Amino acid sequence: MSQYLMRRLLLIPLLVIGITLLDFMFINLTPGDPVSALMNPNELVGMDPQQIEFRREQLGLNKPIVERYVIWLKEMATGNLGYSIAKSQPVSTLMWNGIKNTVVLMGLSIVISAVIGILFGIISALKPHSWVDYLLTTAAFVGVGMPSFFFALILINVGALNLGWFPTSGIITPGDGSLTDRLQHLVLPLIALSINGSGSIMRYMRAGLIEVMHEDYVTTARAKGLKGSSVVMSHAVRNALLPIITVLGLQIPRLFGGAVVIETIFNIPGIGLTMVQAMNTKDYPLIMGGILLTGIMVLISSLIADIAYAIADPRIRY
Amino acid sequence: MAEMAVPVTQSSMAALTEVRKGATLWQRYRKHKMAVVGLAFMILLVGLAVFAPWLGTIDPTKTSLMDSLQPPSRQHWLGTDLSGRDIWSRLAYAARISLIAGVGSTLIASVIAIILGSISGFYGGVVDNFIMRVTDVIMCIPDLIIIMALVSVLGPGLINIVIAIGVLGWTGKTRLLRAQILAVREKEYVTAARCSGATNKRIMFRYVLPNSFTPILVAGTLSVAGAILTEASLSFLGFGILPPNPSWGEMLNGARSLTRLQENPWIWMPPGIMILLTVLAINFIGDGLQDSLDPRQKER
Repeated sequence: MSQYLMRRLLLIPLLVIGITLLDFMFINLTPGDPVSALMNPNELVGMDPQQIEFRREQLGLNKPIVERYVIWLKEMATGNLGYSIAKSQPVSTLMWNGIKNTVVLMGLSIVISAVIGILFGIISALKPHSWVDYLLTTAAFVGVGMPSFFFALILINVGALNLGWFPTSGIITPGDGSLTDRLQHLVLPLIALSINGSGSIMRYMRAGLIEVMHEDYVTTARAKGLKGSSVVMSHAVRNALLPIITVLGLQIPRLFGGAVVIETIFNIPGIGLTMVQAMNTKDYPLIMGGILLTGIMVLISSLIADIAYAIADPRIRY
Repeated sequence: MAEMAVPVTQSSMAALTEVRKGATLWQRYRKHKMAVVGLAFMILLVGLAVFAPWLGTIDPTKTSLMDSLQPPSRQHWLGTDLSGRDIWSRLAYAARISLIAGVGSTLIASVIAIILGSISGFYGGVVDNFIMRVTDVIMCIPDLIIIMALVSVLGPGLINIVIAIGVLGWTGKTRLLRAQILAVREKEYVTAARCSGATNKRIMFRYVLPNSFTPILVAGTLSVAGAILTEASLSFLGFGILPPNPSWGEMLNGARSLTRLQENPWIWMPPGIMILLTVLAINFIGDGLQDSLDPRQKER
């Protein structure tokens, strides 16, 4: 792989340490201390104060802050993300339960935004200034500016309450759980989550393609007598698609924010809903675990975007 | 949030070709119809916020259980909510919250971005590397999640929201300004100033910063929209402005019940439409500004 990717890879451990530092700093702002959150609350119940003091000593709670950070980091590395105060369950278990739903929701949303954005972007760019272009550009503007929660409420009102086509919330109907049932539950949340992304990808695709259509190699392709469709598809679109990979990668953090809102509205048990519940109950260990996990997930997805770019762009080779 | 450079619309490119060289900023801005419409909307919105008490409103927090869930009428222009509060009054007063949240947090974020971005871009080296890595780390964590976490520590309320969005919103702008400064400081006029013995401070404030400002001005405009959306999301989720204080997001929260949603559209449609229109208006202004501030960019 290219030198650029190597540099990116070397930076990852540094960024992970940065995320943990930020997370640790955050938890030190909150009441209670991070290391005590590492103790299993079920164990604490039967202990007398002396034993708890001994355990504090053992965990290094009385040590200076730098040492406490190192202790905390070691625990994190072994998978002990601490214990949720409100649910007295390990944070890692709670996060693990939510991660699947969130990944399905976000993954499908990225695919949908990419397909819709790219398709309409191409249609728009091929006939600039036509009424189709005007219509699609306006739609993209509205899509970018639409608050996802407002759109979600409209969707529930129309698609679930008035038409009755889709369920209002949840991920499965109790007693059912077939694939069709699950997909039906996904439709409205996916549309709501994908609207911002579709709009912004469409705008990038349109602008990118219009720019590429003026490039010399497109003129060359036309001059040597290639069919119009072949010029567009294999010369122009392929080149205009490259920056879209980066744009998709940059969308991920925003998508997490969207997932928080959408999971809450549709009551989807994912990381977002877990985080909102954690904030409501001031469950700081759970909040910390969520920050750490989402941060690392964003890091991984931006790395995937970089690698995808390097694979897609034949110019990035050594 | 909405900090990424936005692609130029075709109409704006066509508009630019008509612009004479040396046209003033306003003459160039005026050519973008949607940007002018956006500006007009924002002026009206500011008017609504400032003159809220005199625009047929009553106390937005006043409850009256007898008037619960009234449809729009002569007395209550936009109807009332579950607690019998007047929707029009709440809508008008909430414009204050949205504008303060949007502009206030953008100001905080911009000041931080200008300080850090200037240091980073002008001095380079270890300091630059450090600031950029901190930026990378903060950018890894989804905005809404970290802002929610900070608000959960600081507590709800307008001031805390402005602070939370502001102190976490500088990353994109810092990167932009740094990149711009790196480009500007290689320009001939900076070399000329250095040769004629100008101090670092003078070069920075007199030559580099003023010439690096366009991207941050546009990004700042767009981030007002982002902050308004963030405040609305927070209030919608119950972490921002808490009832009885009015905020568009909080008003939408009232429609979380399915019966309200279906039967009382007047309680949630108006605030939703206001958020959408405000975000659209600011995005159009940002687009128009980008094109009219830096026409050279588009002539290439």
